[in-house]
Amino acid sequence: MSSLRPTCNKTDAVLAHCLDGDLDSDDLLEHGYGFACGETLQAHLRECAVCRSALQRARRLDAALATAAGIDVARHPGQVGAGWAQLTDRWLAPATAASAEPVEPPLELTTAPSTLPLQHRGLLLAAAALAVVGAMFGPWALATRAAATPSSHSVATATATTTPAAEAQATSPIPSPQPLRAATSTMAVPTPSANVATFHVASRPSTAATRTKVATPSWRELGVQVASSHATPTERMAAQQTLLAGCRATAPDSPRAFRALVEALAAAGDHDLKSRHLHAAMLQPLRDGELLRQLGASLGALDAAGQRLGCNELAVVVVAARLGEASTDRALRRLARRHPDAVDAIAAALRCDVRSHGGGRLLLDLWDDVQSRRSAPGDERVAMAWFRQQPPSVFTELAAELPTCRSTERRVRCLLALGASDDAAMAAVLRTHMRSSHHAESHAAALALAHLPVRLLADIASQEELDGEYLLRAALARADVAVARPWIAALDLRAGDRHRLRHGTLADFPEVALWFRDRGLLGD
Amino acid sequence: MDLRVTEPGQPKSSDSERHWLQRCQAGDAAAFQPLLRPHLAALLALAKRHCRDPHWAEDLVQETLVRAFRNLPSFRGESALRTWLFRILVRLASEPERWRRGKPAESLGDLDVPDHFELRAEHDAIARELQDRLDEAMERLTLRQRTALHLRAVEGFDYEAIGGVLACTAVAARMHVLEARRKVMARLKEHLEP
Repeated sequence: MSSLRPTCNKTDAVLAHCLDGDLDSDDLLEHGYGFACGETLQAHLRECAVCRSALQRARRLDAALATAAGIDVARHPGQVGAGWAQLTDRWLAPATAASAEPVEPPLELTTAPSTLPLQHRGLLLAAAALAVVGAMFGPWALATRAAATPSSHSVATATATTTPAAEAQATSPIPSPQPLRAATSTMAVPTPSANVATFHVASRPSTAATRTKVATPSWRELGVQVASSHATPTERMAAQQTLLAGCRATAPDSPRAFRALVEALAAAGDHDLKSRHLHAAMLQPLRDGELLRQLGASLGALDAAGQRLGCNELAVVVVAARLGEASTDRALRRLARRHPDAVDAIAAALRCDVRSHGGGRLLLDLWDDVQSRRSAPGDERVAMAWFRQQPPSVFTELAAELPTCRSTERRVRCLLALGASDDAAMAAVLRTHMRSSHHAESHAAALALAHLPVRLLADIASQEELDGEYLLRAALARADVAVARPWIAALDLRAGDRHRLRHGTLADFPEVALWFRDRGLLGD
Repeated sequence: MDLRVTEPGQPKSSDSERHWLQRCQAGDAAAFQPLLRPHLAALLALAKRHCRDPHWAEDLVQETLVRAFRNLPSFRGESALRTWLFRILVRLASEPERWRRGKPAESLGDLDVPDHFELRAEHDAIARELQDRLDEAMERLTLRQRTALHLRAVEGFDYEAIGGVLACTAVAARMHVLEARRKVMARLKEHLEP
């Protein structure tokens, strides 16, 4: 079945450039990409939907691989029925015990051709000699021991692994530690599957292999590992899985484990795509009924406490805001009515781009709530700051809400919030609403437009007809775009009016806009 | 607007790693555990890419550790320890007859009673589906392609380091990653769509 997906002959080069760093021209030519420099590929990517889609899928693939590996490793202890501490013990102890088995030629492992130093050769010769001694005396030692204490095979094996080795070590002029024990044991057990006995018995939980006590990390240490940007995704997911196991209601220390988990998730970041996907994946288990109830209870306790929120409380708020569940959103709204300062924390939490949807609506709801209770700051500028540096999905939601929302106040807030965007598409939405017949909306759109980055406004100023657009000219003047300076000069404003022009509220803006309609037209 | 990802680097040796390594190379077997413990999860992840059976994966990790301990005196530190460990593991994975003995333990199947935290099925189903497809697609890659893509995507290795593991040049490592990615993307198709 042939694929109907459109293709582009530059896709491979674009992926190589964007995902795998710079390729020089020779590489590009050598691998059949044709000649294309980085800038050309970037420009092509902006125009080519096929390449953009391929890049998106490739990035998703990388993120999925990292997440899958983390989950896979985290589940491993469950698959083999052992905890991490047991596993590390199981793997590492036999490695040191069996290291001198002279069974196979070693693999070539050095980064350069292997030439063993003389002292190592000497050690190997000594080990071989001791192994011969072990082979001669091992069966005898085993038989003697078995005769003295009739016991299980494993006990006999374990005994044989220690006694002759100790003797050999005592007689050897070369200090050679544990490795020799396993060498002699392998020789000493008179079965064809000696290696299997030594190796696989040790690798299963039922063995009596030498155990070394492994320190169990505390909840806090596990939390640090979960949030650490230096740890690999695998390690972070494994640490989180241990924390999750500790959060079960039946676990003895579940409240502390849960607190450590919440603090870790609040501290985790989204500095690149991979860590963002990982962060989102780590939030997923909190949607489980039991953990969600715990989170809701923690939020409810904050609501009832009626005190200033500290770091631990804010961590709960941050995680709840990133989770995006209806129940936690409702709890956050309740909390914000009592603690208006929590909205700042919620807005900050949403700047981490891990919530898939609903972030824009939540912020807008919070704005409605605090405004209706007059607990918000006197004007809209502080609330607008909540939307600064929010992920693009927040603004997309706001733009989608505009045509369907029936409340004028909410539509005005939507428009004002769009002013925090950094996107030309949102500028276009604002331009459309500036032409609205509803004055409150058109003024809000103009004021929001004035808050967009200057580069977007300069583009608008160069493309639009400015003569009849007094709201646009007022917005450009407020933003202090170069093209607007002659108009401001022509107005001959006093200091107080200049301040109103640059820093006035939405309530001031209609009057300010009228100056550009009635008093100053293009410097006349 | 530069759309490239941050270029990952070579895995670096920490001070404590150097300390434990020196002690190990001086003959202190007790230093082997603290030296290797930070790399176990990563080794297991790579081993599981090569062996679906968790017991085989464990045995591969264990054999890697045995070889590592045995060859530690000859490790010169010209590459990072993690790179070197991966190199041993990949070599062993390419020659299973050198370390596989007997049969892997049978799973208990339906009788298996998990003692670990299980994610809720409804949220996990999509991720599991994607993971299954991913595993399937990865299995169809050559050993070198699979290793290269894993090291790039999961471990964030750069091409020098991947080349170090696969004993090839950085350019060849890049081509392995690219080819692997192309094949897996072609297999996954709609699973990677927005």
